[in-house]
Parts: sequence; C-alpha cells; structure tokens
Amino acid sequence: MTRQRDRNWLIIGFGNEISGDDAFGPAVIDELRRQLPQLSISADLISTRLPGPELAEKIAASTGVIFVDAAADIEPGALVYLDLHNAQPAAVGAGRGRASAFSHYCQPQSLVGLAETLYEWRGPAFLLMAGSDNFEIGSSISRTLSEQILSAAEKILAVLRQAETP
Amino acid sequence: MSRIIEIDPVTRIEGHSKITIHLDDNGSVEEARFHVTQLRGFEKFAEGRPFHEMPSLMARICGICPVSHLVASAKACDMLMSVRIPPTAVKLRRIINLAQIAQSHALSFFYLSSPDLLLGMDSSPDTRNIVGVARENPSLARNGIYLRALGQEIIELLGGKKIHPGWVVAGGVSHPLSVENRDYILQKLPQAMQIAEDTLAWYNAQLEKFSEEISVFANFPGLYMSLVGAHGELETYDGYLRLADENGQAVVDKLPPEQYKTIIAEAISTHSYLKSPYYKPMGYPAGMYRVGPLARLHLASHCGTPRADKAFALFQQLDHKSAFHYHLARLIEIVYAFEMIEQLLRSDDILDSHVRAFADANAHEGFGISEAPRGTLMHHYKIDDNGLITYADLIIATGHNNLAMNRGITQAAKHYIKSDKLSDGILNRIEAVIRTFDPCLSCSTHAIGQMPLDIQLLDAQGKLLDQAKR
Repeated sequence: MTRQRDRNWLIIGFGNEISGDDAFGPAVIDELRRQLPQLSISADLISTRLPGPELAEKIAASTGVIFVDAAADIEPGALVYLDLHNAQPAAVGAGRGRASAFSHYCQPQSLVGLAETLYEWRGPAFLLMAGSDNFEIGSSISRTLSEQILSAAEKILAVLRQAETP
Repeated sequence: MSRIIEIDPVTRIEGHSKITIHLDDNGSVEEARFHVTQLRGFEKFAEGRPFHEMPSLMARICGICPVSHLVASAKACDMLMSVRIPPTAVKLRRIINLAQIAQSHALSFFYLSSPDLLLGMDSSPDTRNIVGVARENPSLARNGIYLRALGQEIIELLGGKKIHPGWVVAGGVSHPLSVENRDYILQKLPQAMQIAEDTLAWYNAQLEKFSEEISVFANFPGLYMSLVGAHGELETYDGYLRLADENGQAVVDKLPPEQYKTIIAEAISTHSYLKSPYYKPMGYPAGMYRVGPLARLHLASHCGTPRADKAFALFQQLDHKSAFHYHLARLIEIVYAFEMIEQLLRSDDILDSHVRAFADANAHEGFGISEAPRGTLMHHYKIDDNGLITYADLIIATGHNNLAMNRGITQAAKHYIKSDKLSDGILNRIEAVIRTFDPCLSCSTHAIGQMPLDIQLLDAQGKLLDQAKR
C-alpha cells in the first residue's frame, strides 16, 4: 500500500479481472509490478475496477500519470497511446459506457482535470488503450490481448526510463 | 388519450434503470414507475457453496458497498456456526462497517448530489457534475475526495484492499489490527470530522433554496425501519429492529433482527427486477416503509457521539417526511461514523490478537442483519448437513425503499409535469428524487454489467410520447 506522497509516476490500470479483456489494465499493472524492482525504476501502481474522483488526489501527488484500459471502440489487438492534454474527448472514451463525470466512474480526462483544478497539478498524462471486443463476464483475457501485455508494459517502461534520464 | 414519458437512463446513481411517467386521458400524471432493468441472481448461484465461502462471495455483489455484504454475510455464518465471536472482532467489524458507510455517503453527497445542491437543479447538465463542482467550489470537491478516500483507506488498512476485502470472515476477522494502522487512522480522523461539520454548515445554508423540492421529494407519511441500539441510540451493526410512523409512533419495537420475516414480506412487480418488501400487517403496497440514513436518524433517540448529537438536534427540528433530508442525515452519519471509529480505536482491547472463533456448522439456518449505507441489509441462509448452502435470501436496502421511491417520483412528476414535454430541469428533479435514496442497483438486483436507462412519457395506450436519454 502506498502511503507516502512520493513524486513518482503513477500508472493506473482500469478494469475487471473477470470480464474478459477488461482485465488488460490490471494485467499490465501486474507485469509492471513484476518488472520494476528488477529494473530499479520506481513508480506507483494502482489497479482499480472503480476509477472514482479520489484518484485525482493520487494523480496530484505524482510526477506524471499513465492510464491503461481496454477499449471496445478500437480495433481488437491494437494498442493506442494518447497524450491526454492533446486528445479529443471522443478519442478517450467520453462516449463509452463508463463515462463519467456523471456516475461513480471517472474517465481519465476528468480525473486529470480534477487534479489540475483542485490541486493545481501540472504534469504529463497519457492513456494507453488496447482494443478488444471481448468483455464477457466470467471469461479471462483473450490470447490476442495477453500477447500485448508485454508490449504495453515496455511502452510504459520506456516512458519511465526517459523520465529518469537526467 | 393517456400517454407515457420515459427517462432513460437515470443518472448519478449506482446501476442502471429507467423511469416511465404515465399520463391519463387528460394529460395529467397518473403514475411514475422506477424500473430496474438489471438482474444478477446471487441468491441462486450461492446454492451448493460451502457456507464459509459466503462472506467473500456475497461481497462480490457490489463494488460500492462490498463491506456491507461481508458484514451481514459473516454474521449469518456466525449463527450457522453457533459461535459468539471475540469482542475485539465485533469492534473491528464495526469499524470497517462505519468506514463503508462514511465513504459511501461521501460518494453520494459530494459526487452525485452536490452538483444539484451547488449549481442548481436547472443548471446545464454539461457542468452539473463533480467536475463542475470542482470549478465552482474547489474546497467542497476536495473535501468530498478527502472523506471518500479516508473511508476507503480505513477499509484498505483493515481489510487489505479497498474493494472486496476478504478480512471479515465467519467467526470474526482474519487478522488483528496493528498499532501502526490504528495510529495512522487516528491521526487522520480530526480533519475528517472537521470537514464533515463544515459541510453540514454549508449544506444547512443551502436548504432555503430547495423549499419546493423539499415539499415534493417523496414527502408523505409512512413507516420507517432500521436497527436501533438497546438504549434507542443510532446503531449500524447490531441492536433491534424498530418500525415507526412519521410521528415516531412505533409499530414494531425491540424485535430481534432474525425475526424480520415475521413482519416483512416481498412483492414482485412486472415492471422491475427490484422486489418490493412491505410491512406484512399493512399489506402490499400500503405497507411501504423507508430505510437508510433518514430512517435511522428518524428512529434513533440519539446518535451517541457528541458532535453527531449536536447536528442531530437540528435534524430533529425538521419534518422527516421529505426524502430530501436524506442528504442531511448522510452528513450527520459521516460525522457519527468517524467519531465512533475514533472511540472504537481508542478502546483498550482493540489490538487484541483474539479476533476469530473457529467452528464447523452447528445450525441449519443463519440470519445476518446490519445497517448498510443505504439501509437495513438482511442475509438469510440455510445449509445441509455438509455445510452447503441450500437456500439464500437477501433483502437489500434499496429494495426496502422501492415502494417509497416509486411513490416519490409519482409525487414529483405530478407536481412538475404540466405538459407532454420534459425540460431538463424537470427531468433532473425527478431523477434527484431517486438520488436522495441513493439506490445501489447492483446490490439490490444482483445485476450483470451495465445497461442503459431512460425516462419515458407514455399515453394511456402505452404509446411513447417523449423520451429523454443521456
């Protein structure tokens, strides 16, 4: 559990481990949790099924944030990496089912907006999405997206390495 | 010709539902119905499972209030084992249940309802949300985040994780509280209590603006039900069942909770997966009653903690018939929850290592009743000689409120709808009636996934006249 307010990067994996490829976000977090200690790279890692506004506080305590999520409106198997400061709302799922400023769930852009408005946070914010059409309750992650877990983790590690470069 | 209006989905609630508003031949509102369009069925697929698995299984019913199900389920399992759990385990269960209530109330008040209270019922739906609140009153939004996050953090520190902790088990809890975690929680509580009191003051200053809503938001006489303590105090874990009318006149008092089936029956309607419990002696639907924070404070003689009792004195001056006052009751219960957590954490035996009783099944039937954020939660199990579940029946807080919610939206629709067209302000007010009850539909219907929800306006023949979707 993270109690310290270090200025680490924060990686947040959204998703439900028992809803098919919705498990992608948590699976990438698990992979990072496995790799980070060996690479001596520090980052705060969160897996959550319910991305609520309270995550804004954690974002505000970070250097930068990367969200990882599966998306139904992207070609299955494709990885899309977006800069949330430049992305259009439609590109980051504002029209998808988990939309957010209106319910218990928050979209990444809403969370970043809250961190900026409430805590005057300024930092890089990215969204890494993996396309899928498999969100069946009770099923496990598909082979297609399983094969993308390492690629996604590597993409995030590259960002973290670059950030640690003096 | 009669007609129907549809609101689909109802927003800023947990789960998915729709509202239909039925107009008569004269175009006046005849009835409004709250349709819960999702089904889960945990009662059925629990059958055949070993009873000791039930707390963790039942916690999966909901991502918002898993702790409530953990607690009620574990209590039912204690009864199946016929054990009296260690006193420290009772205190620790009380703490995690109170943390659940605090974080859930913070979610309801700050994230879901404060946009209406701060920005107004008629403000633009584009900004009438937590992001809009953050822009207009950052302090209010930050306070909501602090309270919610602290409630979740207490759950995580005790249970190991924020959502679906498995720490509450049949016979007690799985491990004791550490000194480090106790002290960490204790040092965060004063700020939480101060924030809750400041928010109470802010809320009370807003009340005047909502006199019309207060008068028509499920404002009618009826019964209220909750657990109360042995001395009439606010109670969230044990105690007795009390039912009383709007004047506080008890119709049931000091009933052992496991006897709830002697006074409550459940009706099924064709328009919703949500069952409609009612008070048996008055029949269906006259036996409508309300549960949750409004009912708990209406029925309690006092809270039992000093700061909450101070706020409770103001609450007692209000007419409790209006569901609008659920908001105030929630804020008072947040104060109470953090005060009571502090009291429990300071008790001498809170770090005791004896926190679990072990036994096999020693009874064939068990009941677990506790107060969840939204009201009285009832788990009832039967097992066979091998300890396998043969029967599970759950009555969830949101279900208890079903009849009152339906009557409440009918009242509001009759007041606000004067034509066959819906303005956004009208739509929002009818939704806001539902939001005062803070229904948790995943809990109450055992639903899979998320389904859309809307408000429909229908004529007497069922023809759709107007529809509002988001």
